[in-house]
Amino acid sequence: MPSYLGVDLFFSKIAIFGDPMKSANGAMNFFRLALLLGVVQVIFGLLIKLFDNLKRKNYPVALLDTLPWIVIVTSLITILLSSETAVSMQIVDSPIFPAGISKILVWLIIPAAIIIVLFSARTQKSWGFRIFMGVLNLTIVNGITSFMGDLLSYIRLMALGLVTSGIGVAINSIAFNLGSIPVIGIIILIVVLIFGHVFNMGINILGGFVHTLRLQYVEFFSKFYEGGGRPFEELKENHNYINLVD
Amino acid sequence: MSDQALGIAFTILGAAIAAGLAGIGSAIGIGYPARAAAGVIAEDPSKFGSLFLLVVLPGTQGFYGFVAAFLIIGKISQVINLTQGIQFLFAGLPVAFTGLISAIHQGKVSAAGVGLVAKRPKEVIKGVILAAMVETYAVLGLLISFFLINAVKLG
Repeated sequence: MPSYLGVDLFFSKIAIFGDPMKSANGAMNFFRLALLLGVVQVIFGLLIKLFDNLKRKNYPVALLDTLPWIVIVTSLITILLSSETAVSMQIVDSPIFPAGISKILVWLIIPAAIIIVLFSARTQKSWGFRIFMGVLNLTIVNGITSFMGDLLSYIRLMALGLVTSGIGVAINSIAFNLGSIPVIGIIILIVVLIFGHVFNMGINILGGFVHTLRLQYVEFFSKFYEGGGRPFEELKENHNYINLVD
Repeated sequence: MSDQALGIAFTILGAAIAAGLAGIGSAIGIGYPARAAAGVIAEDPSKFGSLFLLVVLPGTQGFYGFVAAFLIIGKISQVINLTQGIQFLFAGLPVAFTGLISAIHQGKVSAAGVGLVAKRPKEVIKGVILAAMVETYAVLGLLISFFLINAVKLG
């Protein structure tokens, strides 16, 4: 039975994914949701890069660096979700497409992979080194492994939710154990519940903030954002020997 | 000692190691940025707010260990043989060790972040992100511990 703050009341109707602490199914729903958010955001980041570069008429980056990756990532995820492996890993209940779809999608992946091998290191002069860097780009350097890492990184959302609900359940059980003390028990119960849950929310709001921030900066921005530039310095007189304090 | 009693003892050892080692890590990890922050606050007390963020960051590993230990404790009553006890002990190890080591190193990164805030107060978020990079592996350790604890067959 899903619950809120570990108590089955009104909020249990909202908790549609089930309780991650009590049922393995609830935890797996949480897991799937976190991964799904990751897939959506990573592909969204790639699409931003694609359209940004198309708009700037920067066609080599758009068509040789970005579009093949969108094709590869979406195709690989579709193949994975259509396979029995995904079912045994409990990512999906049943394959979303017939297994035959991998035979079609592989003809999208191969040309995209060839484009990346041939053109991703196009600034290199010598062809041997260019192909070598292309293969590295396809696999290790910003390649398939790094996309996999980026997507799996979103599972941290599940872990953070798990920590929050775990500490919540722990606080409840401590509080209700202490509450069985006669007379003063009820006071201890209320104090422990209020301070415990406020503390839990505080520490985990911080955790949720820091980790989603990291997901934005590391996993999402790295797909399209190019830093650089320098901070704006307003026009003002710069004195060497006097310092005006307001 | 009976098989069940030994199993329960090992289960308790698993919970104790998970909470204990991760907690030690967090305690050491908070120590570094807290000492550095005290020095910065001595110069500029108004920076306390942004420094507090960096100081409490290495504290989360202790909670990861706590949650893993709590999950193991919830299963103690169902342990009936030695094998299950040892399985719970091993299931607690990922969060224990990743928590211990990552909290200490996150503390060092946070302490460097405190130095960053002292010089450039507006860049506090970048210091926080650098510290969060270290924490990733403690989160992964907790996840694996969680899945391992759930994977132990009881009864």
